[in-house]
Amino acid sequence: MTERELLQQLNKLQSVRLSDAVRSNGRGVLLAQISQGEPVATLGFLAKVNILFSRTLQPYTIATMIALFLVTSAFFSWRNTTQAKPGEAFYSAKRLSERAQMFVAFSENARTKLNLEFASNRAMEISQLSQDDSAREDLKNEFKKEIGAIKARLAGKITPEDTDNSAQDGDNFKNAGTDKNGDKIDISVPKKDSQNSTSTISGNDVADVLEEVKKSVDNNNYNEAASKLDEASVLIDQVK
Amino acid sequence: MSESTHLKNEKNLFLRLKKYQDKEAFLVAYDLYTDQIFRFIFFKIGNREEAQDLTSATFLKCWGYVQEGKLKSSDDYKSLKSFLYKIARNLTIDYYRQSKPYSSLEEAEETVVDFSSVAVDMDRALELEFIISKLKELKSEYRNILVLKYINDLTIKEIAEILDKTKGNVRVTLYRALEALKNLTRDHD
Repeated sequence: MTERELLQQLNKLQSVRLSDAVRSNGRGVLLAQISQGEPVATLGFLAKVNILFSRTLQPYTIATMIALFLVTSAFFSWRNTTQAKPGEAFYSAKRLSERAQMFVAFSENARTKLNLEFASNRAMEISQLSQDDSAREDLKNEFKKEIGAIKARLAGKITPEDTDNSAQDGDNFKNAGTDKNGDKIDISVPKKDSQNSTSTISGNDVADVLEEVKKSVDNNNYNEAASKLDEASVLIDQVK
Repeated sequence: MSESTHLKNEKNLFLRLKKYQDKEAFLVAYDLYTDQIFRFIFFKIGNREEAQDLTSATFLKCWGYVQEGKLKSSDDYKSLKSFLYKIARNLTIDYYRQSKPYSSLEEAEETVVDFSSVAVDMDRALELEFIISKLKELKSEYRNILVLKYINDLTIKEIAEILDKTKGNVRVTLYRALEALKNLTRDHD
């Protein structure tokens, strides 16, 4: 006999059971003992609810629910904070979070990027406000402050070479002696492309884009301002 | 979940008995577990009438404990099923002691049990006669564990709770019991 057949045979022994008469008789005796003449009452609604909670509110279930609640609330708070408009409950939290971000940014480049991001935020906020909203002017001032801060940071990166290059913007000239009249002869020498292409972007280029951004905001063209700010962000990465 | 399904859930039944001494839940428990308990006792003692009496006694004793609040006050009892099996086990031990007062429990348990009464209301008596005869030849410990696992379909965890053993111990005993039964049935076609 194989193990499988053996287990099947054992399983068939489940047919060993009490006869219906004996079972019914036993149930009757039990009922008489436990009810003591009174009818067996059904459990009340509150008791059933209590049992349901006893089963479901296990420590691990409670811990999971708390964790889910915290994660969900954190997510919604973050979402509300980042998308808050001026005058809304979460707006001050959003500004506070911006300050905190600026506080923990250590490199000058990171701070410049943050200024750009905040300027973009202000531009979007202005676009979401109605024309006669008094907060518009405050936001415009804030926006200009951010742009000013970016320019100030970039000023440290604008070198005299940048200025020479932008002014000359052509070939270099070399002294080639004098002609028969004794006048000085210069010959043009093509400018050597010793630096890679990214180095051709200077702080002045970024400053130009920022000026365009300012103009767009003055013209109430906020979408254009936002795209120009994105452009400025890309340029800042390329400025050495 | 319907009311009857809710009631037949083991954990619900246990809580209803533990917290509210719910008589309705107890009757449902009787309907659910009476055959299992009967089989457990029957394959232990091998006498149908005595097994019927001990099955009734098991449920009455269980209700007595419920009323005394023993279920409520102790965390030792993990489920109603294991609680009932433990009572049944203790009652069979008492039964052995009464029937063989001067022998040890082990000796009393090893007394050859008479399963002849099993055929009373079994259609497949002839078919199962062989396996029943081989179960008789097994030692009591092996027979009990095979009944719990393969006839009453209990899990290893439940068996460990009932027999007060570790799960590892139950697995080992189960393996040995099955090997012993295989050896006994090896020459059977």
